[in-house]
Amino acid sequence: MNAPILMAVHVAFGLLGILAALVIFVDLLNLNSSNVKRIKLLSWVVLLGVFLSYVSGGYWYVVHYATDKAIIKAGAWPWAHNLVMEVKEHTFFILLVLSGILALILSQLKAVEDFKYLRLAKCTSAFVVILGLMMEATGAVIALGVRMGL
Amino acid sequence: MNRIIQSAVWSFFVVCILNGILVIVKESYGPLKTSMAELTGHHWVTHGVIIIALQLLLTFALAGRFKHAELNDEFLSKMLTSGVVLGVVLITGFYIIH
Repeated sequence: MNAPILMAVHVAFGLLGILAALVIFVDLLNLNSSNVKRIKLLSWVVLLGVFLSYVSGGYWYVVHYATDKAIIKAGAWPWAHNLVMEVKEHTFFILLVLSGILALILSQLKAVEDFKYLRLAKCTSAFVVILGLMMEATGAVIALGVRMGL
Repeated sequence: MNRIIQSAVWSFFVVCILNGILVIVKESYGPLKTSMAELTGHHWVTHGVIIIALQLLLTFALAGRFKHAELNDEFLSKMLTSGVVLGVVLITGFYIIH
C-alpha cells in the first residue's frame, strides 16, 4: 500500500475511534436502558478504530517516515520531529491501552442501576477523545513540518 | 470481572509511568535504543510490544490482589487521570528539555 493511502487509513481509523468515544461519552452523560446496547457496541468500535490506526500508522512510521523525517530535520521546523513526532509516537501507547480499558469497563455495563464504574467510564472515554484529538493535531503539525522543509 | 477492571486501572497507572521512564532511558542511553531496534527491526515497535505486554501481564498478575479490596469508582477515576497526566507530562517534558 502506498504511503498517502496508508496515512489516510491511519487518520480515518483514528477519527472513527474518536467519534465513537465521543458518542459513548455523551451517551454516558445520559445513561439509560435505551442506549446501553449502543454504548457497548461503540466501545468495540473505539478499540478497533484505535488499534487499526495504530497498526496502519505504525507500519507507515516504520516503512515510510524516514524520508519525511530527513526533510523535517533539515527544514524550518525541525521541532516538528524532535518534539511533536516523538511525543505523538510515544503517547499513542497510552491511547491504545485506554481504548482497551474502555472496552473492558463497558463490558460490565448490563443494567443501568447496577453499573459501578460510570465515572471511570466517562473519564476513560473523555481521555480517548482528548488524546485522539491530540494525535490528529500533532499529525497535522508533522505534515506542515514536511511542507516547511520542501 | 470487577477485580480485572481494578487491576487494569492500577496497571495502567504503572504502565504510563514506565512508558515515560522507558522513553527517557532509551533516549539517554544509546545502546538500549540500539538493542530495542535490533529485537524487532525498530525501537518503536519493541517499545510498543513492551508496553502492551506489561499492561496485560500486570493486569492479570495484580488481579489476585483485589480479591478482598473494593476500590470505588472515584478512586479508580483519579488513578486513571493521574496515569494519563503523568504519562503525557513525563514524555512531553523530557522532549522539551532534550
